[in-house]
Amino acid sequence: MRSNLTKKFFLVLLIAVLLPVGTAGCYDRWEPDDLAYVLVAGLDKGVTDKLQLTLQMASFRGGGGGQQKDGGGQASATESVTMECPSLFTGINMANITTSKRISLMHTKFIIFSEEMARSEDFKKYINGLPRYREFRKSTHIVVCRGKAADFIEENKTFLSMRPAKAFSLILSQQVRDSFLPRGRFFDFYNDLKSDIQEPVAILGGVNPLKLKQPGDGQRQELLSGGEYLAGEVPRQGGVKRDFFGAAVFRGPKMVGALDGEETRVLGMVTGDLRRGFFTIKDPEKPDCIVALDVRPARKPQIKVNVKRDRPVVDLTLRLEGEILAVQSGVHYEEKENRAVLEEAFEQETKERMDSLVDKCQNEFSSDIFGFGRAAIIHFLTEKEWDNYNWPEKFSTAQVNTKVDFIIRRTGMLLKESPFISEGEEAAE
Amino acid sequence: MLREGKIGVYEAICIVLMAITAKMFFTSPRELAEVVGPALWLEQLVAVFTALVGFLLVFQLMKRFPGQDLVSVFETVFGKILGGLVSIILAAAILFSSVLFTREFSEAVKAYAYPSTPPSMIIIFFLVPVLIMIYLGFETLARTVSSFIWFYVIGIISIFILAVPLYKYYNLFPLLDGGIGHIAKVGLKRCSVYGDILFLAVFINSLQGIDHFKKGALRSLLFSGAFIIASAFFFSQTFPKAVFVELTIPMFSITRAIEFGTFFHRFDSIYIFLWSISAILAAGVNLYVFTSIYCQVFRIKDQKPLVLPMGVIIFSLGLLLPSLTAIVDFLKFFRNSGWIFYFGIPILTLLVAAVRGMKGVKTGA
Repeated sequence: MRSNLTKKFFLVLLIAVLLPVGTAGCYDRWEPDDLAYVLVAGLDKGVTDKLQLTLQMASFRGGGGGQQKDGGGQASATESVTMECPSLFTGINMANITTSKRISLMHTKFIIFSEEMARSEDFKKYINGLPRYREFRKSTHIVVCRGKAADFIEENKTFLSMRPAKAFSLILSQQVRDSFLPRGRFFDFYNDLKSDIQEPVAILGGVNPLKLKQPGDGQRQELLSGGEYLAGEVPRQGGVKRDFFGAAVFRGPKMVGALDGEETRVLGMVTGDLRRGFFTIKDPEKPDCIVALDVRPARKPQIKVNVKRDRPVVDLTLRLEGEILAVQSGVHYEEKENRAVLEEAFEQETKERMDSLVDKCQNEFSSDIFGFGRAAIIHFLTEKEWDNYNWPEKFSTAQVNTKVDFIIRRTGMLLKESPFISEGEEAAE
Repeated sequence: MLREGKIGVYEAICIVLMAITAKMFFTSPRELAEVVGPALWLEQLVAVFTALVGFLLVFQLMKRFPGQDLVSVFETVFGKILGGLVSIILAAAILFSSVLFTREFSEAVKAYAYPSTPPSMIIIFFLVPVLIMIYLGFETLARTVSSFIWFYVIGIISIFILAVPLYKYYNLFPLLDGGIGHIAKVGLKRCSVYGDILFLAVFINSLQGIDHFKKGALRSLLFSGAFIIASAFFFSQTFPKAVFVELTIPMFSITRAIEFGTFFHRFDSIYIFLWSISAILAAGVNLYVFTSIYCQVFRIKDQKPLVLPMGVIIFSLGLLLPSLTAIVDFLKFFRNSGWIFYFGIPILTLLVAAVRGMKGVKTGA
């Protein structure tokens, strides 16, 4: 009895001693400050080796505040290092000579490819290796930057924020809501890259010179919607030079073109990624004025594909709803008749933009970034039938019928806009 | 004979459910996706029905020999030596499966969580709780499994719910991938995933009679079938085929991709607990079955002296496997031909018993 108790005691003691050893994970133990966290990795074509890798890492200098520098933004709470290397992973090893910490990709927020790299055969060589690596997470965003990735990272600073890790992770997720960017998560990008029902799009980045045009440099000839720019060209001054605007379009593992912010918004409407956006259209009653609308999807986009004929027929219906934000002309779009006019004008303008984008994707890019293939594949029972149908080729020949239904649900904080008194008197005279 | 104590239907269900479903969270779904693509869930539907038919035949065998467990039935039908040999073949298959499972777990942990830790270290820490459970006996094992089952089931269901934004219905198409015939053929072969239901025939004397055996087996088959079909359905919706077949452990990839805003993400750290617990318990169940058959064949009355040597054998065999790809190849072979051991041998026994008109003697119990 006594020996049994002793045995049990020693057994429990043995377990109690062994278990903590196991939980400590002795071989793979890393203290947080033993690691250098790469927030952004940039890939350019190399000069002396295959790849030029730039790593932007979080600095541990007291939360990352810094003095104001020329060109806006803060002297970064990050440090960058660029090296020529044969592969991303050897590059990380090589970069380790610059720091006493072990470089880790565990908290990488985005991977940036230069446009030159994205348009080359090299792109697939590097993108393929990413999901295999344990530290890389598929929630990372994929960015294609116009110009060099190293230059882009140089300008990638925080603005109105002291914590680079949080700022970098918020900037893309918040902008998605404003819809000038595609979702750009590696998870979606990679799935689209490997499937034949939808082609991938990445976030487009660029370096903005931060110079506004001066009077005489060139006037705006016509009313624009505010989204007709590519990254690096957005007319602004102040803030940081790093721009995210628009999308890079791929056909397979190769970039074939770029969409501006407005086209990206239309793409978001079709793919269902658009959550909400402020849109500006010409006032249908007074074309020299604008109407601003807050638009969001009312229903998921409806895509039907008829694959019975040799030339597929795509019926695309968008159902959107919105709220009036501003009416410069003072026309009472709150009233039923006028509201219908405004709704029709928005429907017409969106349809035109959509048709133009579809045309561009069919004829210029030959890339089904809309995911019409998602609605086509459900008509096929076996993989052989689907492969024989050859959707990527059929897409370019498809007849795409688009329809937009837009309804104004709300009129903002005002139910009616009264004219200015002086204007009323002038009208009476 | 081993004194294995008594368990209820609930514990029986838990044991089988854990042993069967734990496989879904390793490399097997990937390998199946390579063969049947997005029709994985349909293939599992065929597999579960095949396993059901297989079990009903096993049930007929056990009903024919009331009061006898599977090892004793083999001995009655084939004679002591041949019956013992048949039991040892079955035990060897279960041991082989356990070795593969142990090494598969260690490789998966190394790939995803502990890259610098040697596999031997992972296997040792994996085997310690497994061997302790086997040392303490069947009842302890059954109670441990049944106490963890809700934590496990709720954990896995929560992950599938959290992953809802990742599901894309169109990834399920083309619905029949290689065609109905192909799916049916694969489903028939891969019923081996539900082969662990045979464990209840080994422990039939621990259950309260043949009715409990039937009830426990059918329910566990129903639950594990539903669980695996649902998992296959969700896996196939999350990844297109081309990506699915690349992933070492699809379930782990799903957990890593879950993200709600910038705050709720990195659920894999929680999943690792579920994963390790299920693997340890499933390996414990498998190895106990091996021990039990071995003890019955060689008339060993106490399993305790066998525990340490068995641990050493599993550890050594596990380390003999050269790489993860070799393990995947072995697993593919075992999953494709496992039905021969799990259902083929008992069905053959039933046939022999029927042809020779053999029946057990009904006892007063």
